[in-house]
Amino acid sequence: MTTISENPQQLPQTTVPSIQPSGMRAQPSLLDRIVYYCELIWTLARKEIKVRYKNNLFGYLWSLANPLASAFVFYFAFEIIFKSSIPNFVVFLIVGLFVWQWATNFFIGSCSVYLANGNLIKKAVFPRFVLPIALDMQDAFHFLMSIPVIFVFLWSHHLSISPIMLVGILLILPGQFLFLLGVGFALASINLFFRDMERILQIALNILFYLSPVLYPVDRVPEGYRIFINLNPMTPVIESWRALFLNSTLQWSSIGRVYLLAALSLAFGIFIYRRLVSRFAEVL
Amino acid sequence: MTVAVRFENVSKAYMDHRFLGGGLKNAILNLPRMAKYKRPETYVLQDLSFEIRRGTTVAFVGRNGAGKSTLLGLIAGVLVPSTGRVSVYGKVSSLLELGAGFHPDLTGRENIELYGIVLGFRRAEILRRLDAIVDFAELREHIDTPVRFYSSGMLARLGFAVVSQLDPEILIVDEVLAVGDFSFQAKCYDVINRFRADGGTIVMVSHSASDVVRLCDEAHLIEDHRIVASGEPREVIRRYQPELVI
Repeated sequence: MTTISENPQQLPQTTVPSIQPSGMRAQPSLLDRIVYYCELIWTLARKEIKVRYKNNLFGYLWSLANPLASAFVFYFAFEIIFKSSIPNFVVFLIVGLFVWQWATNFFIGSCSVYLANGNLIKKAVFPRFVLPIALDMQDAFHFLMSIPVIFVFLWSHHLSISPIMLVGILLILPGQFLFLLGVGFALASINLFFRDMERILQIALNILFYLSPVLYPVDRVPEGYRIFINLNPMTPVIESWRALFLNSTLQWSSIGRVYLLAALSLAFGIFIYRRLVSRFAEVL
Repeated sequence: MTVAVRFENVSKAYMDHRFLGGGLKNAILNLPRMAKYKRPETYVLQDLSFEIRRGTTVAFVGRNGAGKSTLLGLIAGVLVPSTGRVSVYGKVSSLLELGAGFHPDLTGRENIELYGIVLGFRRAEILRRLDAIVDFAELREHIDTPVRFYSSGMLARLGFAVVSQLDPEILIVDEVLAVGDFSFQAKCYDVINRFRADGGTIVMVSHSASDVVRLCDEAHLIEDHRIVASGEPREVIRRYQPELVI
């Protein structure tokens, strides 16, 4: 049985709270529900991956083209022209750019994730939180697929590839996933109500790109500005990946901060999502 | 007779969304004004109370903008009533209009899986019924083609097939029977009749008087956001379209 009711004075805080996923008759157990959610997220993520890669190798190559092209341009500008003399600058850049690409693709994508699936939202009562999760999974998969490219560059620069990297990937990837997800929840929900969110975000990301240590290491930032760079949430994310791939170390201080950020951003994102979710179908 | 859907004094108002038109930029620039902004609300449905018994087919008729789609949204659970109480007993599935909700780049098969799971069915169940769905849609040789190459008739068939073959308990039909050629329409009527015979509940919105009279046990006329007439479909249609001869 499903019941929806609302106090006239206040907006409901959550969507149709007692509605169960309609596929299960009677009262489904918690485990059943979790299995169902996983299937749902998996199917949605796979759909996005299929659409993106069009089931072929060229789709994969295309997805690498953008960060590799930027790496080439930045290498030319900073290494050839400015003579930045950062050791292994190409590898340094590629790690930063791949990490950045995951974040920026997901943020931009999450702005339109509900709009793109508006027809489903208006027709079916599946839990709406699965859409940003599926999108994040797709972008995480994408990032995972670019890690072999990082290894190729490490190898070509005679840098060591150590088994600790596998541990590091398993450790940092979920942290970044959750951190991005929290922000994504907020962006996806707000963009339904304020459709110019996406444009504002484009500008913000553009600025943030140069204020993040993608193109330069944190220790090159003058002492007085270091605090601002360290306030940038993307800094620990990029730093922990770089320490892993360039120095084969687990930089615990950065990884810890990634998880702290993840907790904060999830709390924020889920709060915003729960405030707005019941009205998604109205504003679509 | 058990109840499938119950509305108790349900009203639905939409917030005035004009202030959203300007986007975040305007909202922030006009923040002091926004804070004082008293949001006027527009009522789409006012004080609706009715019951739909399990196993019946019920139609809602009314002019465009009367609130019929909002009502279906409330039954489907995608909208939340402003006041009152909506109780739905059973699994609801909505028919998609012309494949809205299908992803154009995915094949028919992938779309069946996607929509099925979004409707709340388990993957294993969908895969088990896949053949039945494909056969019903008469799309055997095109099922691995991306649906953007489908004609509108093919899309309608696929949409109807997914929902009807997955055994919903309450089926929501929003003006979709008009598409498809006569043989497919005949098949749809066939399925609907079989679904009714099996004790399924159908809630439909239709402008087709003949569909309402032919398929429904009961009809409600919505006018000015309220139900103004309920009962025998022929009588309700007569009230809705007095000039129509049936």
